[in-house]
Amino acid sequence: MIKLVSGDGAEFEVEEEVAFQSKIIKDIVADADDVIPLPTVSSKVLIQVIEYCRKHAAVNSFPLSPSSSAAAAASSSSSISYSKPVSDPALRAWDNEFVKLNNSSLFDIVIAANYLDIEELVDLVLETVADRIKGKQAQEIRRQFNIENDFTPEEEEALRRENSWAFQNN
Amino acid sequence: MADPPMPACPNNSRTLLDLDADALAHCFGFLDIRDISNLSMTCKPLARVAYSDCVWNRLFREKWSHCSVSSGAIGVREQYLARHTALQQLKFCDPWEIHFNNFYFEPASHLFLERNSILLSQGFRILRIRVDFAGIHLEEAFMAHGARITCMRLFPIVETSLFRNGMHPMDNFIVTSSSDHTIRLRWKGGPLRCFKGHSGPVLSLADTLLGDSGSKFLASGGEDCTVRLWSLNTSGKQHPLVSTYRGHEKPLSFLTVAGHKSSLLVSISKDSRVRVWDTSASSSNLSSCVGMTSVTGQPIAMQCHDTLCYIAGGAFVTAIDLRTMQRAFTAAVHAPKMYSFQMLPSKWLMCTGGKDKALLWDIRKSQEHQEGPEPVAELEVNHNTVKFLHMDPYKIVTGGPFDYRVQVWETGTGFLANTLDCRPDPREVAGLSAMAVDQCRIVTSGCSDSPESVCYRDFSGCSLPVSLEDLGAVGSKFWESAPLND
Repeated sequence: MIKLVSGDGAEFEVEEEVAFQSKIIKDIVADADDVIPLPTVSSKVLIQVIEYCRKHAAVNSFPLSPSSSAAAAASSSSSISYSKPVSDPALRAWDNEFVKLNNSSLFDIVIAANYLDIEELVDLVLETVADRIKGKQAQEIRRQFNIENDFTPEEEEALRRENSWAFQNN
Repeated sequence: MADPPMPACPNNSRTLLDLDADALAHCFGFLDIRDISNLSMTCKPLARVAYSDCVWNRLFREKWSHCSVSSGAIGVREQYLARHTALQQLKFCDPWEIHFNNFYFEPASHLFLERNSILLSQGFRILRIRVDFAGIHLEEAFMAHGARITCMRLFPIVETSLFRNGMHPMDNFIVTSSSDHTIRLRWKGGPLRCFKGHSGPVLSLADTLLGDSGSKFLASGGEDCTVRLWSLNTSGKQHPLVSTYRGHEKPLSFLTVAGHKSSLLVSISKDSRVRVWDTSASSSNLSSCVGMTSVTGQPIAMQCHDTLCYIAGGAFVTAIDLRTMQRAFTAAVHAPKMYSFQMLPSKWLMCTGGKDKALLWDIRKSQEHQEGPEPVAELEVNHNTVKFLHMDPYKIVTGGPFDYRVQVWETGTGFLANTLDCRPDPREVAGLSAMAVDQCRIVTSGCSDSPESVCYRDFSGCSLPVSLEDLGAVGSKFWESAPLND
């Protein structure tokens, strides 16, 4: 068992294969001890990350069934994802449920996942964020993510002209 | 743990801007050009990432995997734009080029480019020629009418209640009017409708459908001096003829729909008299006519933008304010005679085609100069009459019946960008009978003593830029300041 300590001092005991979903933890454990402080990760976020790692560790420890590996072959050809796509349909459904969170929570998780180097989780969350950007105009994106418009009206007009080509029929 | 420590802040909610540039670029990797352009307009931090090389490298590779990005001082976004612009301006000498030897002799009167096919009308016939990676071949040729086709339009079928299962949302339907007094609607799967009602040849069809998404109407004008409105919604039992507008005293030349109010139909007859009809009014008589005026010269084209209607006739392009029916200003004077007219309201530009040249006009400048409009550029074509004109934000394409070559010009500067020989080797073609341009693709139909031949070029995969030498100009400077593909 490995003990993870969150930034707010909470301790979590997890199995090695769960913790090793994080490449960073795997590296640390290899040449240090089994108590790992994670000062930048809050307990709330760490609970969510562990939940994800536990699920994925459980699924990844079993070999793929023939049907799901066929699905993997089909999805890998069309996906633009960077790492290997999640192949198991049941796991994908679980992932889809997992990311039904507000934006702020998603950003917390992706920052933690980046820091812990959990590639699949980073991909999953960033793709979810991208889905929330897709098809939206600048003003709608600002509203979606609480972004303040820091352009002057002149700069905004210049940008609009500079980008108009992208919206022509091409 | 190499990352700099970040304070755990469970109470402060995070925003998109808390992600570092790498994570944002990674996230943007799931998005297309429009989404990324929208992001660049949200705020400065996101604009920096949206313009970054990393993001545009991916977009460049996705679109042009066979071309490499050069690692010079020019940013990848600039390189993407430069290549995109050069492709749109057809500034390459290695397009995919293919010819189709037609077996009918009549000159092509209408030519359209669809996604994978070319549509051509010749006399009574319509030809659908399929173009794809496998080559070019005739998909169908049919006698669409019992007499000559006078006008042909393409409209997206998904906007109408003609849409059925089995049709693709991108499919168009063809509408043709003919001297046989009928209007026929057709989809590539077969005929859809036939509208009968005009008491003489049907001469013109409106360039846009009228009505809202629920019910669409088509307007036609005939030699019988009537304008007629047809419903695209009726089933077999109801008569599709909704209204007949009388008032013109000569056969109809053109019909178009007002830019500011989509229920207003503008018509012009051969005597250059203009009428505006309110198609939302139910009565089908004179009272539907809500405006009248007249212009000088035989009309050759008519197009609306916003509250103005631009009418090209004789040597003049006149802008009529549809709210007052008064002449607003003269937008162009192309003496002695115009043969073609196109406009690009988004850039305030219009182009007129005449003998041996085409002229480019700035609409705003014409509006200011009360003493008469001045062209902003002159596009010289020798020994040809510019009868075919295409205009988009990148290029102007000119062609005519006395030359087998087509000229491509930069819209922004009026400079010659390329000259395309549209002859099918080795047969001699005297000139062109029709032309159609769509993005990086161009198709022409050539006329000569032998049957018509179709020349198709697709520039979207090009890599060899045209040099000034190729264009017969002085010097050997490349169009692109930095060639992209070395």
